[in-house]
Amino acid sequence: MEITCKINNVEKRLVFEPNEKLLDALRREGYYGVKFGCGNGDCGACTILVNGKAVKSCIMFAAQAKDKEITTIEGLSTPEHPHPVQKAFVDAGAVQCGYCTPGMIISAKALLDKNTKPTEDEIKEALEGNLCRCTGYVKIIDAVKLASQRMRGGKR
Amino acid sequence: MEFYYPTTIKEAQEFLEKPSTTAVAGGTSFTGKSVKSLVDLTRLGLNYIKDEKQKIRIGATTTVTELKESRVLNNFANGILPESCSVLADTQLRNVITIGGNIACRYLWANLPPALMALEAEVEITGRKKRTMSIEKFFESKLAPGEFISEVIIPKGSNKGAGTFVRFARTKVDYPLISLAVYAEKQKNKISILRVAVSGLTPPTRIKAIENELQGKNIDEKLLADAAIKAADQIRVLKSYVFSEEYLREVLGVLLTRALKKVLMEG
Repeated sequence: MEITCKINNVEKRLVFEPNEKLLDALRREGYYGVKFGCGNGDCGACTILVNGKAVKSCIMFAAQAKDKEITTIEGLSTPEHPHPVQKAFVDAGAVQCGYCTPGMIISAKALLDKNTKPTEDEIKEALEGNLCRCTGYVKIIDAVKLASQRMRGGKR
Repeated sequence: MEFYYPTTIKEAQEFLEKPSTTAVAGGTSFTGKSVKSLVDLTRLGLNYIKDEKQKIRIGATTTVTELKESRVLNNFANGILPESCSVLADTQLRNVITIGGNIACRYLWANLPPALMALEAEVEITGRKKRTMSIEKFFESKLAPGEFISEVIIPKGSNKGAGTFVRFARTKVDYPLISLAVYAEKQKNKISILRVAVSGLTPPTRIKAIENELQGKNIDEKLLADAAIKAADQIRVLKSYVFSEEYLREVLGVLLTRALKKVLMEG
């Protein structure tokens, strides 16, 4: 079957089997920033934005994306001009192996889009669906705080 | 396999009457399951929380995030329902899990059924005809082909009392072993209304034994603890390959005692 949806602000036609998950359809289209971690909705490596809300694309049928607006990590920025959250993750040392990072950044962006000055607890809640096996989370939380500060100050 | 996108209730009902079709809303319960055909219920306009004079009506595809953030529900019955939502799964899953789906999947670990039982909620089922039943009844009955949950209705009768929701799991994001919801009202020192519901170690159910035992009694710490432990000993506990029955009963007794004390003796 096929549907149309908007991916990173571009109208796209997606073709897939009706029982396929959105994660697989996106990766086949070349959005490799959407990672396969567990396939069960546990780890959050496949997190994307659907109509502005963070969701796990491994646990969602591709068919459910019909007429929706999807944002993947590729849609946030260009290598020359990283998104403030990406810049903050680098500056705070929040990236180790990097596998969870796209999902973490998408979840952090979803939070900062609706809450520009989150408390530490709000940051933890926003990221509770994203597992990281390397960092111990401390620097990830630092990075989100840093991003929030910079985004409020208008600096990148 | 087919994927249908009905835009009216009538269409949805007709698609669901076809053999081997399953309704899908959030879609999170389909990992590893093989399904024939799916009917998307999220495009029927069933996403709302209506605050009416006598009732709160919640559309079946309202997400858990929306329930959690609802001002109406936070101000209702001590916010038991949003409290149960805030400990449900994680942020990304709450953004897609719907109230109807959380009930319809009949999972032991689903948080919303016990919270809704403590609020005496009703479930509206749409098929060729509409029918409404209490949420307890829902868990004792089956849906016919073509039927789906369309609305959850919470009566506004009693809602000024105290309530709490307890979730017991090994880690924050694990499935809960026990979910517990308690709603109570008191007049002076007497318990005037008490509703207790549990799920996890047993299918979602009201614990009438405690309710009947304590109704109308004077609030007394020992009385609460005795009633809680007695009920925990009597309740039907499903076999678990991880936890012994004795352990589950012990934990349930402790959690019930704490919840009753919190609701009836604090604040």
